[in-house]
Amino acid sequence: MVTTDEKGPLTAKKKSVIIRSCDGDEFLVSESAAVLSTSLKKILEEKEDRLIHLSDIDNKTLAMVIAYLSTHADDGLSDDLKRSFDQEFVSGKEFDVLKYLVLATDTLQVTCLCYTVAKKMADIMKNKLVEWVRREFDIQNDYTPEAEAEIRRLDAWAWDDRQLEDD
Amino acid sequence: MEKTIQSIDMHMNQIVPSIDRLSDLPDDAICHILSFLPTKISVATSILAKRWRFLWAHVPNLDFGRCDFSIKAEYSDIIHRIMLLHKVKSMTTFRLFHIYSDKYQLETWITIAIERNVQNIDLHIVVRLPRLLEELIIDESYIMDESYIIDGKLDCFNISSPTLKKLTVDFPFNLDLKVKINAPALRYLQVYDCSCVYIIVSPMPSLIEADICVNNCSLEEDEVVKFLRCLGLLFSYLEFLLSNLVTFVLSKQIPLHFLDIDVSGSIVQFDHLTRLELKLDIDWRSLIKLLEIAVNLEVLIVDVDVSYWMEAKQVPICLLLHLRNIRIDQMRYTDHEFNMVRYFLRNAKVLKRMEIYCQDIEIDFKAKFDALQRISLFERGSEACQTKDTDTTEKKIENHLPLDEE
Repeated sequence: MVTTDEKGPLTAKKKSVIIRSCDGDEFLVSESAAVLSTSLKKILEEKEDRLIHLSDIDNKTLAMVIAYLSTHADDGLSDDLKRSFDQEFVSGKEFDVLKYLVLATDTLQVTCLCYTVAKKMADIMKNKLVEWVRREFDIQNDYTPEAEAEIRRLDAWAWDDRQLEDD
Repeated sequence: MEKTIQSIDMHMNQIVPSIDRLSDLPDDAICHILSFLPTKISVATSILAKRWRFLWAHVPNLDFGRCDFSIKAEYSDIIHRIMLLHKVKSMTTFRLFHIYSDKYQLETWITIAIERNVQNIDLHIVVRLPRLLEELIIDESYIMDESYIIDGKLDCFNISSPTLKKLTVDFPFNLDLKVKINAPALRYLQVYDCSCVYIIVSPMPSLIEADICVNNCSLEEDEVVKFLRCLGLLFSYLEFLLSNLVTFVLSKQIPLHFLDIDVSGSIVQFDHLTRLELKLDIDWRSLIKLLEIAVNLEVLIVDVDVSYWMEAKQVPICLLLHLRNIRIDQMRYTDHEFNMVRYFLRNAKVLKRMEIYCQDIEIDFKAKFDALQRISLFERGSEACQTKDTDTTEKKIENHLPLDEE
């Protein structure tokens, strides 16, 4: 499957690259969008290969990242529009989705997207119960109840007046 | 708290061992997420699992913000503990909000932050001083990249950092405050309400912008003298050290002629100064002196009370070669001001635009028209010059006035 990016069919003049996700889907991306990722830029500088295989990013996440890159590579869009796109981009996304996004941006080194996603995750995490965070992050509590109580005693101030919510 | 522990225990019993998907996330990424949260919340994550026990200590900022930190004396101990456990070598931000602490503690924390190469310090503090028992809460101020914003109430404040790029000092109300600034990499300096501040600065060879706002109308005579001394000190340092100064804004509200004292006799040049904004009652000699040392000045904005004007013997170099824009705010249409305008128009050889704003919006059109007539007859040193005279209230009058020439 070859998907063109959001800017529509690419002109012959414009250089493009094919990026393949770990599940085998291929995305056609303009080079100007791809180089917004520091990692992709490095790869493109090192070799002429027009096919880049990303072994640890799934197709859904990759599609989102590419939509982001293409929008930010579009010179026709004002900075304000790009900012509101960023807001729109992370709003309403499941915590899980954001987690994969932050992983992908970490791998691809897309600083501004990484910032946007991490900030959104922090906003969601705020005022959540410990249990909620463990569940959403799939963290297994490996403390003994005694050890956990001890930590709570040591840094009691960190929990004393928090407004907790649970979803 | 009890309830939370219980629910966690229940959760533990139910849990089926699963892959910790977050272990996919590197510590750096987790710390990045936590960096958007107040320190209190990132410390609270230590309860999640053993791996998280000290992850917060690697979050690049410490934010003891307003919302999550009560004003209690014992929080000083907590901050102290957190700062000791915090392991980051390059901190981005250190923020304190309305914390009761004594100045020694505060200095210790700031020293620690600076040793960790902090980029931003944002302090909104309540400090109890023995002599001034009333508690003062300083207004909120904004944090900027690579900057320290320090609002405070201390006897003496040392700001010392090899990497600091931007500094805002805003110390209202404290009459005996001393500020020592040792920041060789500083690029932007703003000082507000420094009328009562003694500022001692060390060399700042990288400074490109200085905005000094002196803002106190209710000073007593001896305070004026004291103030003069400290400003003189600041200014002589500025003169001496700031070879890269590009923009320099100096403003104040009380009539003083301190520039006369400090600028005259100076052999230093502001080689890189391109924009000079003066909002003070300046002596004509001081103004000329400033123009002489700012050899590459391109933009001059004066909002001054010129009570006397005399032609200088020698025309400053910047007038002959570089000065393109002059704006005169608060024109009162006195003869001395007309003399100043005439002087600039005649001697500024590359002037492109002169804007004059009148001080009093009551001045009728007739008076303005007469003034424009008068100015239009002045000799022009630059052929490209256009003049514009307008009300402060109507800043954008284009092509309405007789002197607007292309």
